[in-house]
Amino acid sequence: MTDVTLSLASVAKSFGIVRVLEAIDLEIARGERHALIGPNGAGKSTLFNLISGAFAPTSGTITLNGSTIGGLVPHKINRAGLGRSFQITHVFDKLTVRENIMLSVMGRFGKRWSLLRRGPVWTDIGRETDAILEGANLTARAHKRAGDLAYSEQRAVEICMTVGTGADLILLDEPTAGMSREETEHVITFIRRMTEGRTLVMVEHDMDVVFNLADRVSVLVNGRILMTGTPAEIRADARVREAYLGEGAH
Amino acid sequence: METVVVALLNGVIYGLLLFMISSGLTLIFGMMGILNFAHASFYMLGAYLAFTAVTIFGFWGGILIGTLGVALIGFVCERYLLRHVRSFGHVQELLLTFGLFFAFEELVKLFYGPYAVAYSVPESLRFAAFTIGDASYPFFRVLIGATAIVMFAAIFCLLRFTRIGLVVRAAVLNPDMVRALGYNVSAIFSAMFAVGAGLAGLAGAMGGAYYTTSPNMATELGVIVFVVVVVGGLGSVGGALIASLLIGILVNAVVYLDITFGQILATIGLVSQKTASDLLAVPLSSTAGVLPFLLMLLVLMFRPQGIAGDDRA
Amino acid sequence: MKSIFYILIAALAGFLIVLPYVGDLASQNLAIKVMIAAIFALGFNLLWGQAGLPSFGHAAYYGIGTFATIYAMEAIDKGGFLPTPLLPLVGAAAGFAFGLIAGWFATIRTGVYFAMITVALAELVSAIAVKWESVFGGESGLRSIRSDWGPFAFQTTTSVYYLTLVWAILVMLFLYWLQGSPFGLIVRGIRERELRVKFLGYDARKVKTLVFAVSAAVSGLAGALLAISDESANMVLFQGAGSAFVVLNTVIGGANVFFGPVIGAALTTCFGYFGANLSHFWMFYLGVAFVATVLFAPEGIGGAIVERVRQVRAGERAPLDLSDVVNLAALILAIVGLIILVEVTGTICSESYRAAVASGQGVWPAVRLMGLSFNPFSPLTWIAGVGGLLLGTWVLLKQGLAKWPSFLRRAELAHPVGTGETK
Repeated sequence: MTDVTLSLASVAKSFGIVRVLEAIDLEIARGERHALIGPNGAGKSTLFNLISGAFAPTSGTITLNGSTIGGLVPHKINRAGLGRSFQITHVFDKLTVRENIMLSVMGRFGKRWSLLRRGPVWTDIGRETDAILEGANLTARAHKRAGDLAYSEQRAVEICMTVGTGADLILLDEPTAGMSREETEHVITFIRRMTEGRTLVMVEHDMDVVFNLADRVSVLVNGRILMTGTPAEIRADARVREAYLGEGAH
Repeated sequence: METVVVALLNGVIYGLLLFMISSGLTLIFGMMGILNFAHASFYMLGAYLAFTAVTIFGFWGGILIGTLGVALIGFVCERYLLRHVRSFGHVQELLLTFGLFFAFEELVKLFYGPYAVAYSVPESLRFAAFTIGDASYPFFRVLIGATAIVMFAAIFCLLRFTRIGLVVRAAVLNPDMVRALGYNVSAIFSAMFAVGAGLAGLAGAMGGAYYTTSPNMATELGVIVFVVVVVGGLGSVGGALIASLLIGILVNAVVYLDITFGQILATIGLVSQKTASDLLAVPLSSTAGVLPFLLMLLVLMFRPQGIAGDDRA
Repeated sequence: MKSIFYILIAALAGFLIVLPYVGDLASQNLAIKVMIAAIFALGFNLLWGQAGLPSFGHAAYYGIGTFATIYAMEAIDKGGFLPTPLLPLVGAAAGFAFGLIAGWFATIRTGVYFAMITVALAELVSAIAVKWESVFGGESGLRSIRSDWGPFAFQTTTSVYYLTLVWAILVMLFLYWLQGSPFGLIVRGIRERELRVKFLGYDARKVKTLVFAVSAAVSGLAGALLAISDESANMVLFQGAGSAFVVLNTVIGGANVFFGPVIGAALTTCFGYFGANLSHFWMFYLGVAFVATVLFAPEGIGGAIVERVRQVRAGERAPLDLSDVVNLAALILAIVGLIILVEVTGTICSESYRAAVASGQGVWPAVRLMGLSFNPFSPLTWIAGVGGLLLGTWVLLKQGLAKWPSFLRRAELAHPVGTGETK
């Protein structure tokens, strides 16, 4: 197999006696765009939280670029190369857009403890921050408080932050939730551009987004992976249709 | 031997008193997410109200007034003050309860002066319950312990066996759902707050008679109650019981040990005899005040969620 | 507008510099107390206003700074190792060291748990200080003397005044700069969304511990200045009142404005200084002011000023208008009413009054207040008190100066202004 970024082997998760996930085997290649879909209650959020380090698996291993990350604290996972966004937008409302993104970029350049804003590294940080702002069409908004932005713009800031950390595995949790058709289209293009060259895993309900963006799709039903395949294969599969009977796209 | 039993008994009863106060605090936190800094103030107010009421209504009337009066004060605080500030955030609520704690202490000083008042157990109740060896054990002390147990049992039964208890337990778990079912959850919470306050007031009314009643009561006991709640686990009444008893017994038992801190360290070999007798000649018995905090630090290091708390960071 | 701000600062600085020449010793002493309280409050607010961490036991680090400095002063007296002007650094170092340990414990948990741990830690220190007489001096405390250093003599109040002033300015510059630094940005990010910051690769716990330590260091520095000024240290410094006052100062002054804690500290200290002579119950008034601030003006005085400046700049209001006069009148009315109630009640409940009643065979003498006599039996007394308080409060609420409490609110929605933390 080609270079594997993220690998889940026999991962299971229970909360007390409630079995949420079972026998999860998944391998995601470098540079792949992978979507996680499934009916409500299938365990997508739990799987997402497992991968991103919110809690540890009950059994099985999760490895990122060969090293185990299952059970590490969030900041160590991020430094291992994983960045995630949140379903409910988690931008820093009272900070400006530029400050939001700078926070994510600073870490990448190792400037976590600095007190001064002088020196060549800071020029680089500034340049990188501006580049991200430019790529997201947010330069005009750079000095507005993030809390004052429109919802889709806040989402964009969030995704910029996730990408800004320099992580090569990006996890997006329902990035287009709550958006209009038009906004969704913008975000799809935006995500494609921002995650160029990186590996992407996203939880999504919107089938258009999935088919537009994903290279491969995993369908999660009742805590197990029903199948993994290309969007076309998924669409054609009878079991998937049955699992989604009555659900449809959000 | 008798001293050990007496110490143990003292510890258990003191622990039960602590429990009466801390159960309300931990319950309110578990339910509403409010840490009520002024909870220890309710204890103090209960003592003072009882002290005043006793002159008019007799001792038992005084206890009753103390309890109900504080319950009323608690209700008013929650319904009109805390609820308003809640919209500003949890931490503003914390600040308000802190401000109330400060204000209540000054209010008490306003009416009663800055020194302790002569609130004491009436003559009729000053007899021995039983004797252990040579020592006679005061009845009132036993009464305090008994009251705590009865209160705990009553609340437990109320929560577990009545319909309103079921609603309350559900409201703790999922207030929105209970609201959607048509119950006035806000009123339920106010009522529970009042009950918690009333419990603290009862503890104060009885404890103040036996121990001292002074404006310092709230501060002195308040911190211990915090420790109990941290050690027991926020939100867990069972944990509060265990922690209260643990701390009560620890604090009371240590008073009977006749060695100094320095002597212990010297025996282990950490310091010389000289240092032990000069610098560290602090008798272990006097560290009774410090022990609860050491316990808290230990718990924080090795089991931060407390004895029975959940994993809410 | 910014230039006006700078002019004000310059004027204040100028005034402070010439104070010893225009004012008497008492005013210098008061100013020293104010500056010490202001530094303490600024240190506290680093943790509270910037990091969102409520510490209700900060007196511990203040007191530790004082005691450490007293010991250093003793050492200097025996054979100087440190120039006296650098003594505050001893307090800062002691505060920092203890703050690091305490902060490490306290940051194990967040929110209300954190607050409880800080209280318990402060009580622990206080309990140890009370018992450990050989180190903390017991009830009489410890004493030392200020040693002169080089060309500087420190035997006069004025010399201490200038020393305190210099350090106050240095601390303010340091904190202001810290706030604007990248580190400050991370701290504010943690306050808003800790989880997010963690997922950006920052070790939030380490950052919080460090902020705690720095905050404790500044508090320790304030304590050191106290040691220098008073030449003594006493275990009562560790008691709850000290921790309560710094919270009071910061909240009343405004936690979200840099100079808020300074304003609050100045007002409270002056109020305590003058008020303690006028009334036995000045702390009660302070408590009422605190509760009122939290309920009705959570942004504090500093926040109110900033808001007013913003409104004037946006053209929404004139700098001073009729409603301000009305508000002021209503405030005074309410305060007068409160004073009447508190003083009369407090006096008739006091020991000395009861003794006077007993010796005067049941006659209840009037309470002398503000040049007037208030008869406790006269309904006029109580009407004046209650009426003034209620009327004044009602006008203030109606004017919207204070935020409507929810049970009085009608159709209009009040604008919640606050350190609104979404938990």
